Amino acid sequence: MDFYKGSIPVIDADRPDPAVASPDGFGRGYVPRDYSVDPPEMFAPASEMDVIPQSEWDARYDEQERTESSLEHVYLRGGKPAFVNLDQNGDGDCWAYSPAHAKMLADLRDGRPLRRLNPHFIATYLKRFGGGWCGAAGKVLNEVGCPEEGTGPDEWPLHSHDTRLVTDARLEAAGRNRSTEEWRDLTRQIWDQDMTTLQLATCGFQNVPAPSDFNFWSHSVCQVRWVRIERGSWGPLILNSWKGWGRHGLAVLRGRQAIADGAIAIRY
Amino acid sequence: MKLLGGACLSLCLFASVAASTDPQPSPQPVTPPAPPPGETLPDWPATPVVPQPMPPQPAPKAVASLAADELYVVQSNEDVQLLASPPGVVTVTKESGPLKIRGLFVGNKIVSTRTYAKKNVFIVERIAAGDVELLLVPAGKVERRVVGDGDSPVPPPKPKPDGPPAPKPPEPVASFRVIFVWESGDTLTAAQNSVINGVEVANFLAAKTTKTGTDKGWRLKDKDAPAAGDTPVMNELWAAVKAKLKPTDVPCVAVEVNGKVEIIPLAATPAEMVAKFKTYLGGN
Repeated sequence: MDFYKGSIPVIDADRPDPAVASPDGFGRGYVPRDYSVDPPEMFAPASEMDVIPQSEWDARYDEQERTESSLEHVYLRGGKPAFVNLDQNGDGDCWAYSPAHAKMLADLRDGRPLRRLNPHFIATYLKRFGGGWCGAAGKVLNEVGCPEEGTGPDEWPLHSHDTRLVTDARLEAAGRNRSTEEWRDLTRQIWDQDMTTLQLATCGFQNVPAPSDFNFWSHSVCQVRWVRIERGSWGPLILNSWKGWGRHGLAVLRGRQAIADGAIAIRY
Repeated sequence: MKLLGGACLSLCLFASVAASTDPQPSPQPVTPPAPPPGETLPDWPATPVVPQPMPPQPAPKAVASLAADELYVVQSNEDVQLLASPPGVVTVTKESGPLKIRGLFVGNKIVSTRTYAKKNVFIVERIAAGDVELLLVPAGKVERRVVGDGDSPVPPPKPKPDGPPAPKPPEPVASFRVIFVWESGDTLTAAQNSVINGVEVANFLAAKTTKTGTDKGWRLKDKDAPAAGDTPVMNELWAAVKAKLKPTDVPCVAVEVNGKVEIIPLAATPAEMVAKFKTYLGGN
């Protein structure tokens, strides 16, 4: 097992270690996008993104390290995580947790009040308990929002899939946590994988969190940053929704399969 | 030493003016003597000067405004002299009356001819700007000294009652909030990202901006973000910022101090950004 910065596990996406990538008791739930349900035009395209070429990555990364200005630094500022990563608790709701993590990371970056969201609401709202992709949950975050975790009348109980709890009060509370920013579609196209890589890297260098789905993992997590694992080797630093996993929920993916197959980004 | 010399000169002058005639016969009053019945002495051209009652002696009043092309004429049958202080502001020309003078007399708007019948006629004309005090004193020896200020410290002049108000001291900072404004669809440079998200600026803002409860006193906002969905304080501030914001300003920084919003450019480095913020807090 390799570690990034000495403590964050590095997962080889081409030969994932089951003990790390798919440990017992941790749910996943990624189901590849069904384009008949979620067509390409559901989000803004990423084609207008001014991507950062790979020739600039080293300088960008070094500058972020020097000034502690990456989203990784923002999340771990002060030597501890700004929040404990969300926990999907063995349920197949990873696709809802990755956009919720993105929303929380964006709030953290922007100085907004940090609210602990409960993405189980999103799966329950859609009555989608058999898995999904991150874009489906991102659409709910845009249009409906997500209530906070809790037992109050306007909060969503931890790990609940009880559809009877979708009340007006909770919908109103969810609306207070709507993602007002536009989501942009970074989904990898078979014929243009390099562009998706550049777009994901650009999001990483711009501190734009990107919910990302991985076929090799059947899992959806949130990309936090684009990091240099070693000289010439790059990959996404991701925040997982597994309790007590990785370093404060963080891990790095590397290898050809470490490029997300489905991904969205706020405003990108 | 210079200060002592100056003090000594002042004392000597006081002795010379206020008690110069002692032990000579009867000290002469500085003000004109009371005129005999039926006669008014001296004749000041402007009427407001009525030096009564005598004690206590009032401060001299500005009796007229003398323009550069005007004449100010004083006449008297007494053996008097007219002195101007400070020197260099007006000229005083003594003529013997009776006398006809044609000119623009002070207080008149047209040229006219006046007759001055008394024995001594003094014509005052302005040659430089500034106030001047005219002293009509009995003829005789008058010793005049100009007391300089030397190199000693000079106290600042007292503000004139009707002058411009003194500048107000800096207002205490009751609120200090910051919003970084960016276009999230654009790609920031590495330096811009360091200023906006770097630890140096973040630590400063965490320590110095005004919190509302537990809510932070700073934000990063897309220029098109709505003025809603945030805390009431930040929604209000963001609305004020958007009213001032020009598209060409972005990326930039909105600084709010005591309710006033200013849009400033993003600094080149985190250190420069912090230095700029400190200027709004009196350097702290």
